[in-house]
Amino acid sequence: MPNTVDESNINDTIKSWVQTYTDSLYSFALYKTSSKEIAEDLVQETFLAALQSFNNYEGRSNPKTWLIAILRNKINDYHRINFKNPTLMDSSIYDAFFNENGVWNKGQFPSKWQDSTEHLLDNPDFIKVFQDCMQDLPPNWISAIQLRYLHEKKGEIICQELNISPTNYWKIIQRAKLLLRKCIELGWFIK
Amino acid sequence: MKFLMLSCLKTTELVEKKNFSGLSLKEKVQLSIHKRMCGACAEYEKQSKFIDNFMKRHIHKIDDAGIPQSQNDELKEKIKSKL
Repeated sequence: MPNTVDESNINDTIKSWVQTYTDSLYSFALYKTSSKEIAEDLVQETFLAALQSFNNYEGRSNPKTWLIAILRNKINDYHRINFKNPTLMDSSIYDAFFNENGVWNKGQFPSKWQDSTEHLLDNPDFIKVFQDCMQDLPPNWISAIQLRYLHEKKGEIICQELNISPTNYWKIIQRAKLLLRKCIELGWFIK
Repeated sequence: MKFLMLSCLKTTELVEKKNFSGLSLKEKVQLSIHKRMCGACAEYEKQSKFIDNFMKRHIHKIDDAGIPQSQNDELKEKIKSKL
């Protein structure tokens, strides 16, 4: 029964990958979705998909590269579905930042970020602050932001795929940025 | 001149629109006039670009550098039990 031998070999291989790569994949998914539950689900789906399509792998690449590619597609799909949820356009958030004339409220206008230079982009402590701030955003806004950068594509094409007007799309980005900017400022620049 | 004046709220919208789909000539003029008068919005644009750079740098990362690592042994066992 050569087939059963093959199958149990595949199963053992995937199990050893689970042991070796779960932490990396989970960390990656957590970083991209800002949700522990969703990250866990997506990693689990990734290994199940890897088991099913193991024949496509053929050892051509590093297993981790292959698994990350599967996971990345799953994250992308998740953001697309999540993005379609309603209540994207709540405008009450503006009241916290601007008065009725659209001028920055006292204490809300952006203060200077003293060391907002290149070196911060790879600073682990700063990345942690940034990640925590992302997690505080409404989930569908996180999806809007992630989709914005996941695709190399032009904005208009993303809008067509998501069936949303460009105006609504960049207004969501604006709202998310207002919150994100404030959170980063409080978490890092003003201490 | 008044038709070229923007509120700060509208200015932050245009900053994002600029990155997203580009601005009309009128919007470009409006934005640059407003930024010259309003330090807070000028700073907002800088910070918005900084956030963009950060996101772009990290979105396509597949190595572990820079991504905070979490250990999740429960998840490993859970997945193994389902295989």
